[in-house]
Amino acid sequence: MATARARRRGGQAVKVVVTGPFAAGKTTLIRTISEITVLSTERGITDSTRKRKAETTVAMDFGRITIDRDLVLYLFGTPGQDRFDFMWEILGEGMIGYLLLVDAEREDSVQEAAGILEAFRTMARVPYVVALNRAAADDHTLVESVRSRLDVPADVAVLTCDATDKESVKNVLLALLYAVLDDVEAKAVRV
Amino acid sequence: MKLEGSLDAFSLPDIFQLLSFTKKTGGLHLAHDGADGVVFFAGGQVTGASADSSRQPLARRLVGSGSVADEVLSAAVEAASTGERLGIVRAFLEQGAVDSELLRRAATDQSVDAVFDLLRWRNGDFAFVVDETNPDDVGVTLSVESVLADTEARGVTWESVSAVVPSPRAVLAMPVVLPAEPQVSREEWSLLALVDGRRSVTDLVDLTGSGQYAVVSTLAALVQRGLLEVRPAEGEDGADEDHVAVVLRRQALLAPLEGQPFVPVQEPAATVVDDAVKAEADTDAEVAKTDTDTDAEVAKTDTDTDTATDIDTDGDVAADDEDTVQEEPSTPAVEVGAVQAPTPAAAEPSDDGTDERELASASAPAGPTMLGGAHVPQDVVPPRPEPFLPRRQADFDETGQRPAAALRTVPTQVAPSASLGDVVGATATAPDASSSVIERDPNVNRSLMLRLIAGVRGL
Repeated sequence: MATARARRRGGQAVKVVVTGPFAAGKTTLIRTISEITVLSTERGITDSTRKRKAETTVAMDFGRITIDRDLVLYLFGTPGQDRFDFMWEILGEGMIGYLLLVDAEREDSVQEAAGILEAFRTMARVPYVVALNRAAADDHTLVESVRSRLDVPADVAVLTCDATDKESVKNVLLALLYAVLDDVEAKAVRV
Repeated sequence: MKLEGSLDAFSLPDIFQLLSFTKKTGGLHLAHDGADGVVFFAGGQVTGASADSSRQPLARRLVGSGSVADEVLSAAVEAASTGERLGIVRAFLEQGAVDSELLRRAATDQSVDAVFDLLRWRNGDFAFVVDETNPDDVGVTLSVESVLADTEARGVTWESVSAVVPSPRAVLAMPVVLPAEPQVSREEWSLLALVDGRRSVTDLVDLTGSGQYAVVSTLAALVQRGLLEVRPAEGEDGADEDHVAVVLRRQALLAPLEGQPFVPVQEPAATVVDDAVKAEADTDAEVAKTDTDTDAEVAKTDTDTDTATDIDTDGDVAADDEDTVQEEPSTPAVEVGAVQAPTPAAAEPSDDGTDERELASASAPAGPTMLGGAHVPQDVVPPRPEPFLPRRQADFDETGQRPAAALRTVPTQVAPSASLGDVVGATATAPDASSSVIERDPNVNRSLMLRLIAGVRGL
């Protein structure tokens, strides 16, 4: 059984994973919302992906949001490149939910996101939301298109966001937390 | 790949959580004010820690507990010096020299103590070296959760403990008078025996190797029960005064009620004078009748007013008639206790030919006279010996060949029968995550989620 909560100096720590294709904006999103300087293990890119980004996250991003004295929310960003996908499972252990970030401006990002989402859905039965980075807030057509292509069920939120804007990131995070709350309440009713 | 940063940007609990969540193996090195510490992780769990990398705190702890004999220590030092990534404590284990359970307990305490010390470093640098192994891995694996919870609990009590024992430089002493019958545990006794009124708390930590928290909290408990007292710091009133000095000072205050101050008899002859005079006084009557010249000499040497016999000049005994008391202007009475040189008369043999002086000398006790004499602290309290530690109990016959069954080996591979999560050898058997789907922790409840939502909303 995964452990979603961990004691942090006697309090609780909760973990959320931010995943998505290479260069979708995961590191930026975490940096925007985290209260600490994000611990990012980025390196210069040496392969063909260099044309899209000068450096990439090779292990993870790590951000923190202190909720109150006894509760901390940690954000873990997965590495974007396929060869680090072994990290996904390690990072996913103990998470309460995950956020799939897609670069709406790039077609290949959506294609890549489909594979990642499939892997995560197989790996974990936890709530998730999909966020379309760099998409206009009112672009409902795009939202529905991505939902369809990623085969996202109707009860899972797909929303637009700007990874550089704190309010926008907050909204995405809140959507995920509400999804987890719904899941908690639904399971409580079933029990 | 190296993970590094500064502690003011990332608190140690954050880094611990990161390494735990990502199941990292390696050494987390910390530097602060010239001090270096390290915490070792295996699969995201703590396997050992030290708040001072330049020393061997775990080995010191075992040495301090009296669990390691000289020859074992020497052999382990040699093995650790030559063996690659072999620590001295693992050398103990491989030699079967120390009970493995004791070793694990010590390693656990040491790790928590060290992390507690490291958590108080508010600034400094950290660097995580991936796949660096703990040279003193003795099979202890502690979850980050439990280590942080333990250190949190210690942090709560540390404030009150450090109020009782205010500084690592504080010196403690035993009080002269205890408030009640003392009752101490073995651990307390082993620490109490090291307190000599001169050693500081730091000295005691070094000697026992038990870690600052353990030593200070034990000392604080002893102070609170009145079994120890914190001596004034240097420069404060009473700093130069130990408990013996206090007793001597107080004894001196009793002097007015104890009559004349005692002056130790330094010359054996002074005792002879008293005894000789007493003996002569017993025979006064006879002496008075027979020899007035002798009477006069006896009167001159009378030193005891209680036993003295007044003699008039015509040789009659007149003890009850003051009018007939003979004045003796030439020989004043000698004060009790005053040192008196032997007089020629006293030195003379008695009439019966017995040499009273020789008898008195023969009966005088040998050695220094203590009654009321000037007390010298080092004479009163002998030098405190170093404490005796319990004799080490060997697990096997050390006189002959060690039986093969007694040899301890460290399993290096997971036994086929080991189940998921079992601790085998130096590391835990990690559950095979690929065989199960990650589920949300059922302990995540509505209340927690509402707190999270409120918190994120408030950002």
